[in-house]
Amino acid sequence: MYFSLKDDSSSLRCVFFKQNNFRLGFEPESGMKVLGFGELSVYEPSGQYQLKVVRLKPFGVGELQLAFEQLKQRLADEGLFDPEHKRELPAFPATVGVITSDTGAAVRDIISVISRRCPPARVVLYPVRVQGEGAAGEIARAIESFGRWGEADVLIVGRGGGSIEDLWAFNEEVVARAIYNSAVPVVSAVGHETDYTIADLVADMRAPTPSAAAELVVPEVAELAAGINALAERMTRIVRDDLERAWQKVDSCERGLSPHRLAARLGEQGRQLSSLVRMMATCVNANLAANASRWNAMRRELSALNPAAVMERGFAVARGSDGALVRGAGQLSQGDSLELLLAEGRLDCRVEKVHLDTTSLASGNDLPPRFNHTQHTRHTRQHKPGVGE
Amino acid sequence: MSAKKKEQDFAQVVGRLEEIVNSLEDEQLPLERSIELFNEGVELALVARGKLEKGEDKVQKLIEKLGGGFELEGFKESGE
Repeated sequence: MYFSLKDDSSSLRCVFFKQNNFRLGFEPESGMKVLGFGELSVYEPSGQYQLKVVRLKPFGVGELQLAFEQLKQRLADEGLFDPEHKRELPAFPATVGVITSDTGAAVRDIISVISRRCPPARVVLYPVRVQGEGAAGEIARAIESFGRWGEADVLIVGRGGGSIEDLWAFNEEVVARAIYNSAVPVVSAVGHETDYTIADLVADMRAPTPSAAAELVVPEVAELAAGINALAERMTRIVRDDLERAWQKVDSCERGLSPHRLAARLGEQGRQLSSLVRMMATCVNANLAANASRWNAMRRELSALNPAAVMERGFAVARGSDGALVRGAGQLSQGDSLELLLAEGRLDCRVEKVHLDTTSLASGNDLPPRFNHTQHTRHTRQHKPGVGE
Repeated sequence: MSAKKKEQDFAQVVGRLEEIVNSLEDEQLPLERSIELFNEGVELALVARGKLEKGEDKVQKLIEKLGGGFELEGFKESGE
């Protein structure tokens, strides 16, 4: 087991051989405070001092580790790691935003994976420092900037592997909040296989290394193309079968349409048609006849009711001086003037004498000759409908 | 924004293509409709394939300008 012991100002390489560490009793973790006993020696190939450890004891919880645990707890309580908040990555991003150092292996790995798997995808790098003072702030700002820029479909935020101090920027609250609030889904890619950073916990998806993140983020174009081809083949097969069936239908219809059968069907329908035409002609004629005789009867009745026609037959209309029709002799007195309307012209008259009886026409002798005729016509009309129909 | 549009388009194009294949498979469509859908599907498949095939070198660097706008600059990897 190889590790380094560090404090604020110095670092000492350590080697802990198997014969000594088999009964260690705990799993040393990065950032842990430990108490080590051993023998100082020189590692000759590099000329560096090293401590050959014979005993190692945990010495409380490392300060970084403690800070990490505390922040993790606080953000977890606040809900920053909630699975409900995690967003789906786009299936086929046109633009991948990358936030990392522009010099490390991380950016090279990401670019090479994306250009191999998905040539149409565009990679847009926002270079930042990934360790040391100010790194966390730069990373957080870059995430916000991508949000404002608006063209990235997904972000990769990360760096290659390193010690817990090297990775510390990814454990800082400002980065955690920027990832949580990011307008674009974020994949964390902090090269640190064993432990999660806070950034890993907040990110929509966590990748163990930058190349793994690149593989998560873009699809393999060859697979997409194969998928499209498969869809096109399925579609072609179905439509080809449909067409095949349709042709078979056409064939069988053609066989069904032999000239002999056609003629037979036409003969039968032709007979039906001409008998229909005959029936219709009969109906129309009967209707015309019925309506003609009804029309004549109506015309006669109308002319009988027309007052002009009645006056034509010798009757007159009497109107008093007030213009009211005179229906009875009692309406007027001797000396009253009245007006008689005749078929042709009118007479102004004066009453000589009033007779209240109605004897003069009772015998019927003086009836105008057409009166009887009209009565007769009215009578016969009552029976006419039966005749016309 | 045009890049964003294209991404949605690809998903939409493939989605519509899947829809077409499914309705061709599952529904008893009149032949005219089948052929109509087939023609649309062929178009979509070609469009989708086209989107997978462009391959210019597209690595850029996002530069934030002082005024708040953004600018892209070609990016060459150092150390290679």
